Amino acid sequence: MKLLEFKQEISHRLDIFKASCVFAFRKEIAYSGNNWARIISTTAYTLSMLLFVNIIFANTKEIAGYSHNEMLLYFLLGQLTYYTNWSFSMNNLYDLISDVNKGNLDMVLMRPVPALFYLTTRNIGGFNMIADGLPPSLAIIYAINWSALNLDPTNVIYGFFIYIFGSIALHVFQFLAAIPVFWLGESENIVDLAGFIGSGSGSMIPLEGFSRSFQIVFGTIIPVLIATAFSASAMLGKTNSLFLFLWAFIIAIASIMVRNVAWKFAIKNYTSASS
Amino acid sequence: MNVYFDIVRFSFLRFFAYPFEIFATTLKRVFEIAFLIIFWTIYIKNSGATLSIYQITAYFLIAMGVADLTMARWGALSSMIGNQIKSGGISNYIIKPTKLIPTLYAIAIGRNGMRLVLAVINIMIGFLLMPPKSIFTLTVFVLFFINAWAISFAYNILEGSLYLHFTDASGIRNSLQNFIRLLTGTMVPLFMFPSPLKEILRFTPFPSMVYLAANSISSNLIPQDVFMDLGIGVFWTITLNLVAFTFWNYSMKKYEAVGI
Repeated sequence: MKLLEFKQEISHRLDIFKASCVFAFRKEIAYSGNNWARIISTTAYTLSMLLFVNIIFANTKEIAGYSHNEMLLYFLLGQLTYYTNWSFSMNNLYDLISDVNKGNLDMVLMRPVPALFYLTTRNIGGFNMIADGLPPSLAIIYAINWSALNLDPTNVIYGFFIYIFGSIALHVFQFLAAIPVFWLGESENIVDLAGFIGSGSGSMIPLEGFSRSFQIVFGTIIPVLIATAFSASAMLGKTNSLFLFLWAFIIAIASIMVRNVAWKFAIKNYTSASS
Repeated sequence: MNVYFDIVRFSFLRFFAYPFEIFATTLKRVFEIAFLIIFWTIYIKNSGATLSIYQITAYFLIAMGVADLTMARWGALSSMIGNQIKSGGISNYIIKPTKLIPTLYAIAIGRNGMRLVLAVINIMIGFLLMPPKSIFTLTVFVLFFINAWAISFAYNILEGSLYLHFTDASGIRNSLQNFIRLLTGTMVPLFMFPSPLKEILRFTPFPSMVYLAANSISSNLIPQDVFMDLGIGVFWTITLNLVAFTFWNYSMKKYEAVGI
């Protein structure tokens, strides 16, 4: 019986996820002109960053033990983290903040759907993620001299899983940054801050560039280094990949548990005109 | 003039409704600076550059301060113009008995008030780390800053005018901003650029927008170079402002809205 209920629950969630993706896709393709403009914007950003990396490496051979090519791989992973994070996490969090701020959350809570799952999956911009991210990512892939990179297949697989665990942990960190909206009425700038720390300002500093204490803080309490810095370090074999894999796995599991507890706590404290 | 100060004050006070948001904005700036310092410390260690960490920190603090104060970075005025055109809200300002550009500029200053306050703090900390060597250095900084402000103002007007021609120019605006960040020296000091790129860039308006003001405090100034750079900056100030206002007036004629 329990297995049957579990299967029904999964099927229900998949239906919600499918419907949300179709809705998000329709929204994304509604303004084609804007989509082109976004592609131009992300490509321009990537080209400016490639120029930045070239300028930096015109004066030095390595940064924190990373050669020009390794830094480009690091940049590629940083960009992938950015696109997936915005599509899977940030869009939904901004919608959540807006709903709480305007009182629309009542309408969501009344629906016969698992609220947390629905709120964190209803606006996954898959089309924008691919359209915005593909051309610039191809530019970076083209810029990398792959034969000069020392990539071991086992490390790459570990790196891939670390990237997924890191993305989960990053999402939870940003989710926790959005939660204060239940008490304060607004938390957009707090989420901005979390997004900025997660995929913005630190994106060009490799793991080995941080001191041990920073590595621990940014790899556990504020888990912003895992998706990009940990996975790059594992893929390039600069740190023991199994160790980083286990670290990322534990943080991801802990993050999911923290998210559920934080959500229950927030929803208990939610007040609105009709609740 | 008082009415514009009132607009600034009113727009700024709206921000204080959410004190935690102010805290988050401040913390974001702290993280931005901290990551910059970490990155450039690693760079100096690896490249064996003759720069000191104080010098490079002062440079970035002042560069970020100048870029925010003049709105060269993330173009607060162009963003305000763009949002008002997109939403049709600009019609409200056209019919009001105030001048359009100064009104929008005052709102942009007010709404970005916290960022501007942090910009001033940035510059002050930069000055503490790398105090101006003489009155001449300070005078040159002020002159370069005025130049930066005037060029950035024209740039914001030009960028904002694009919204009168495209349904949504945010993508184009973001693209321009990404290059502006790099070419004005907000990401990398222009003296680190390879030749002949830095020599070519010298004759463009970009160094005058941020780099020259920021670099004037942290480097040894050669009077001939200063006058040359000031001359180039004044040329671009006049040219770009003429172009920007001509383009703005031409573009505004295309604006259509219900009731206008």
